[in-house]
Formats: sequence, structure tokens, C-alpha cells
Amino acid sequence: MKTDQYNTLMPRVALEYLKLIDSDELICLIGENLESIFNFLINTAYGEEIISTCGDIVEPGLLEEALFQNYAKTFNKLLKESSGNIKNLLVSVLRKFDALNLKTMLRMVQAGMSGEQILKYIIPLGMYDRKKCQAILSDVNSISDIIDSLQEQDFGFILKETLRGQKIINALSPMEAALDKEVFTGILKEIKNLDRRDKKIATNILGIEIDALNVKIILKYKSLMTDHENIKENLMPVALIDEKTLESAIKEPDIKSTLQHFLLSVGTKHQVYQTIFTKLVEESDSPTSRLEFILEKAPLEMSFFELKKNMRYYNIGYILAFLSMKWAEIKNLRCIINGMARKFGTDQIRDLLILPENY
Amino acid sequence: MSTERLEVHPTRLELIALKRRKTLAEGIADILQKDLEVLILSLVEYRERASILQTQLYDTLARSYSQFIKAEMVSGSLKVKELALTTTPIDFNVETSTATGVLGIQFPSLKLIRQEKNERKLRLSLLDAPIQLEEAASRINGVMNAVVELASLTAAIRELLEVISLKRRQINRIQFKTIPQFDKTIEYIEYMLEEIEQQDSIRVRVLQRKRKERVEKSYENGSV
Repeated sequence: MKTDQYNTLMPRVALEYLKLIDSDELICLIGENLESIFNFLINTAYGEEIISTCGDIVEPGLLEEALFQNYAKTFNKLLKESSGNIKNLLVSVLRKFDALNLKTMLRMVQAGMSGEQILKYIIPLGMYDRKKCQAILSDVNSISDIIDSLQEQDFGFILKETLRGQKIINALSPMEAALDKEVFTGILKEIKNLDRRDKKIATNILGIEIDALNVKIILKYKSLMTDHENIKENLMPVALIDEKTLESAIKEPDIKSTLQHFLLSVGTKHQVYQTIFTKLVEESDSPTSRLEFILEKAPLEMSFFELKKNMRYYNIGYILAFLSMKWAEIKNLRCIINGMARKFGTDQIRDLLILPENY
Repeated sequence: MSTERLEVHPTRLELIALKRRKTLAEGIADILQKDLEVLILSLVEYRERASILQTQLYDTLARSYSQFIKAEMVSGSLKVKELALTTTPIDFNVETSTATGVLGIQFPSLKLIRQEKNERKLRLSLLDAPIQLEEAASRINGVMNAVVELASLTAAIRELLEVISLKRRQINRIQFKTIPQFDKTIEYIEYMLEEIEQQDSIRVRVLQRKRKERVEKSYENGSV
């Protein structure tokens, strides 16, 4: 193990861990008005971004942007302190947000929105920041224009290939799937370059996210669509749940049998997978949104599992678990902010928070 | 309210004609009253149907709105707004025609015409759109038929109310204007006829008296 790679990074991660908001404090925010949430957040790690973004205006959209800015700042701090394969892995993880921003641009250009309008929806995370997006959008009128402007960059090639191969001209779905596949292939590729133990931990933590995404895609198809022909084309690269399992799950007639199939196939491979799929089978009659929510919690569950299992300080699990927890915290804050802005029921907000299973 | 009598000649013939017209007016008022009862029954039935449909519609819309808020909570308001702005709108049209309803009244009839086949498919991004948003959109799409049906029922109710109001005005006119007018005119003619009869009888009596006097006079002269 190359401990020197962790020498500067781990203290930074430990410091950032301390800045995370306690779950009890988070729960206390439910039921508070936006002003109170704003005042609370000013005194946390998000204070700086909130003051600079919102000023005196307390508005969910601005608060959301401030949260993203804070995540970007934290991620950049980790990138700055990291080196070698860990840095490469973190960069590959950050590319998820690049794909997200690129997808936003493609969608909005196709819908005929102006560059100025599109920039409002760009998340300040990753390589495609507002400045870069502005440069891309300055002279584009169609999807092909965007792809042409990306030619020299990373996603340009894959998008051009997809555009050339697709049956329906300018259909966004294949391009969106191609972008996500590219991102996850990159993450899995970077995981392979890690040391033996780090590789296992990273495969588990980041792999469960990819697997959960594949299960979500299958569930979405099964609950909302009758035509199952295109499922395979939209699936991501596989981690612990292999292609064979996914293929046979697609063939299952309903959601319950699909989840049972997953439980039988992967339940024995990992404890966390078993816990999650057992819960999914138990709640298989619930709405798909509930099943998606259980899958949403999977990376966090795996992070806690890996943290307990690998108590030693110098491993990738500590960093990836922190990123999962930070992301979950941002999602929880966003959930509370939007819920309270819409005066949604406190119990329903509580149900949508991504909290540890035994909280 | 004072009722003006009709400008008619106070003759017995007019009196008979007026009495016939009054009976006819009462018959019409009776028929209109029955029509009105049928229309009110029909209105109550339409209102009940509309009320049930409205409750179902509001319930579905409330659940869709709740799902929409959940989607905002899960994926953020910006993402939901972005997805809403970029999704392809559902292409549909409303065909208007008329249908014959109660008492042969022509009701406006609305029918939803969908341009696409009614197949279930994803409208939003497969990977980025939260399932709650898809569920809310799908629910609202499914409820469009009920919206059009409710609009159709509301239009029928409005039409019924207009017809009811018209019938009630007609009944009121007959009951409170036409029939009292006939009554007053009949009364007048009867009064006039009575007056004429009295005058005639006085005239007859005078004539009789004069004739009697003349006879008596001629008798006295003859005897002299």
C-alpha cells in the first residue's frame, strides 16, 4: 500500500468529516421555515457559499446552487491533496457531473432554449463549469453543433459515434446513455488501477452505485413501459451484478419476481447487497419510487459497511465514504429546503431523507 | 303587480274564445311545469356525476402534485424545471360536437383526441428524471379524459340551467301575466255583458211601460 498517497489527503478528509452536519441537527431542520434553515446553514460549512450566492434572498434554487458550490469546493480540496491513482479515480468520479451538465445542454438546446437560459441550469461541478459551457453554447443551434464543439474533448468522440449509429435522428436517450456508460466505464477502469485492497473497497462502494442504477433502470422500464426491448441498450457497465443476471432479470414478468431473482443471484455475494435486496423484495408491492429510494441509499449503506470493516485509516474507503456522506447530506438538505418551501408534510420529508439504516 | 286587460270587444263570442285560451294557457303551464321537473331531475343527476368526477379528478391531481413536490425534493427544483422545459409536450386536441339529451335538448359534447397511440412510454430522461416526476406526469396524462368529460358535463349543466331558466320564465309569464290578463278580461267582458243586459232589461221595461201607456191612452180616447 502506498501510504504516502494518503499522507496529505487523509487529514483533509478527516477535517471535512468534522464539518458534516449531524443527523440529529438535520432532522431538527424539518418543520423550520426557509429563513431558519438559511440561518442555520450560514453557521455551517456551507455559510460562505450561501452568503455569496443568496445574499439576502432566501430561495430554494439559490440555496441548492450554494450547496453544489460547497460540494465542488470540497471535492476540489480533495483533488488538490490527492495524487496518483486516487486522484485519477476522483477525477473519474467527478466526470459524473460533467455528463450531467452535458446532458442538460443537449436537452435544452434540443428544446430550443437560449444559451443564457441554459446556463441557469448548469451545476457548478466538474470540468463543464459555467464559463466553459458559455463558450460551448456561444455559437450552437443544434445537438450536432454541440457535439462538433466537443470534438477535441473527452465526450466528443463517444457522442459523435452514438449520433452516427442511432436510428432516430437527434434522439437524446441513446446519447444520454452513452455519456453515462462512458463515465462509469471510466470509473471502473480507474478502480482497476488501484492497489488490491483499495480496489476491492472502491469496487464495492462505487460498484453498488452502478448496480443500483442498473436495477433502477430495469424497475423503471417494468413499472412505466410495456416495451422492454431497449432496456439492454440503456444499462450501464456492470459491477457485482453481472450481465447474465441483468438479462435474466429483464425477462422476469413482474417487479417482485425481478427483485427475487436479484436477491437469489447476488444475495450471497455481499452482505449489503443481501440486506438491500431482501428489503426490496419485502417492499416489492410498494410504489416504484419507494423501491428507488431504497436503492438510492445503497451507496451510503455500503460506505458505512466498508468503514466498519476497514478500520485502518489509510484506505480509499474513508475518502469514498466521505464523498457518499457529503453527497447524501446535500441531497437531504435539498430535500428539506424544497419540502419546506412547498410546505410539505414533515413526516413525508423525513421519509425521503437518506439516513443510515439504523438511525 | 297590476294586470292590464286585453283590448277586446266585450262580446259573448270573445268571452268564449278567451275562456278557451285561458284553458289552453293553463294546459301549457302544466306541460311546462312537468318539463321543468324533468329538467331539474336531469340537472341533479348531471351535478352528481360531475361532483363524483370532480372529486376523483382533484384527488388524482392532488396526488400528482404531491409526487411532483417529492420529485423536486429528490432531484432538486432546478432539475425538475429543466426536465419540464425540455420534455416533448403531449399532443392532443379536443373535438367538439353536439349530442341529444333530455327533452331533445342539444348538449355540447367534448371528446379528447390523442395524436399518439395510448402506449406507455417514458417521456422524461431515463437516468436523470426521478420516478416521482414520471409518475406525476403519467397520472396527469391519464386524467386528461376525465378533465374533458368534466368539461363536457359542466357545459351540459350550463345548457340545462339556461333551459330551466327559460322554462321557468315561460311558466311565470303564463301564470302571473297571461292567465291573470285573461281573468281580468273575462271579468270585464262578463261585467260589460251584465251591464248591457241590465240596460237592455231597463230599456225593455221602459218600452213595455210606454207601450202600455200608449195602449191605455188609445183606449181612453176610443172610449171617449
